[in-house]
Amino acid sequence: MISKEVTILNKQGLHARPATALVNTASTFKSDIFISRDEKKVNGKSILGLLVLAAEHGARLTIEADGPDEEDAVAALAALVTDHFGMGKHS
Amino acid sequence: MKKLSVHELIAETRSKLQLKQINPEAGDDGSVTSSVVNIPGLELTGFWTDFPRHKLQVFSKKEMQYIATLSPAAMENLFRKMFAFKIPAAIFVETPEIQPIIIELANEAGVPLLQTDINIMQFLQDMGNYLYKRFAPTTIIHGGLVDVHGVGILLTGKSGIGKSEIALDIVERGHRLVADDVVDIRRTARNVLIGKPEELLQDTIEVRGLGIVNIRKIFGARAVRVQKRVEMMIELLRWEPDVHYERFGLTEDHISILGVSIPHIRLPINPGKNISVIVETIAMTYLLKLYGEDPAKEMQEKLLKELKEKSVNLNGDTIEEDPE
Repeated sequence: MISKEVTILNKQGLHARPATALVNTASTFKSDIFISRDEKKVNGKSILGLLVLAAEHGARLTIEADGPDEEDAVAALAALVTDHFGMGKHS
Repeated sequence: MKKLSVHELIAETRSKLQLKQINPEAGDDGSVTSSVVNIPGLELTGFWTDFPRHKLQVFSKKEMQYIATLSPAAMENLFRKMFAFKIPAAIFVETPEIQPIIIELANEAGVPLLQTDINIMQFLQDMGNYLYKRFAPTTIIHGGLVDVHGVGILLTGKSGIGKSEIALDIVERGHRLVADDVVDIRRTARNVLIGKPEELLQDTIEVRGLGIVNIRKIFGARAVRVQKRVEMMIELLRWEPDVHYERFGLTEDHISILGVSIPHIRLPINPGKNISVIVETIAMTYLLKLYGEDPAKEMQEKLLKELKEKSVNLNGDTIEEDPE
């Protein structure tokens, strides 16, 4: 199991579209993926779960993966968050 | 550690405890971190060893009658000392007037003073229940929670196995949805788990290929519940030919959630299998077991009896009892 902490850079936070992008990426991996904020930990492949985190601009999240492709999963998800979920730097 | 502000305490217990803050100037964001209250007894006489400073301090008529017998200097000394411990709040229950010196010292120390006129026994009972639930251990489970014939069933399994679709089918058959995808579980008594949806997700299901669906708007108020006791867990598994699944029902697996053990059924699913009917049957079998009926056990007993009779007929005499 490996984990990495990331910060939400999108101005509007982790709303429906970035959450969809995150779930889609997470679902391409075999590993179990969890995203947590403080004590709240949800399944990274569940869109409703991610929405529950209500992660605003600047929120710190921990990405956790456990399984055969855990390293690739954490790297890909962290890159996605850093890349503003592919929505452009000003989103 | 969980924290509760005095402001939240007042708001959340308004209908039952009717607490009012008598010194708003002291602020109301102090934090309660204990699930029990303390009624100061020996502290009033000057014995402060192991004073539970993190608890809410409750004063009833009796304590106030004692305090009224103290000299002004002793009274000031007592409350100065108590408030110096930074107690979360002092609550005066069904007491007559509160001496001005107490309010003055509380303002100085920033300790909220609360007051209510409800009966002390009622207060202690309701406050105890409220705090116990508020500080109950919680967890989040990735899965769905449905009420099938009154039985609270957690549906779990890997992402994409079809939990939400099964929940939808169960609701369509007249049962009720509590939560989909994210279930907040709270242990409200030694062996009781209560499941709820997250506020944002109340009444919603996510169906792949379709998106977010509002169950209450489609099926009406009868199709949802705001919370339900969690009585068992059904784990949906992809059918694997070489994995052993329960065939008889004599042994029951359990899973522990927040230290509470509930039946755990591993249900293999494959195309063409009607999972909703099986979930309904599991619920009804569970209800029958509550009433003392166990089909697997009854069949086993009937079978053993028949086997025993047969072997008697064959050998002409009884065989030794199996020590098992």
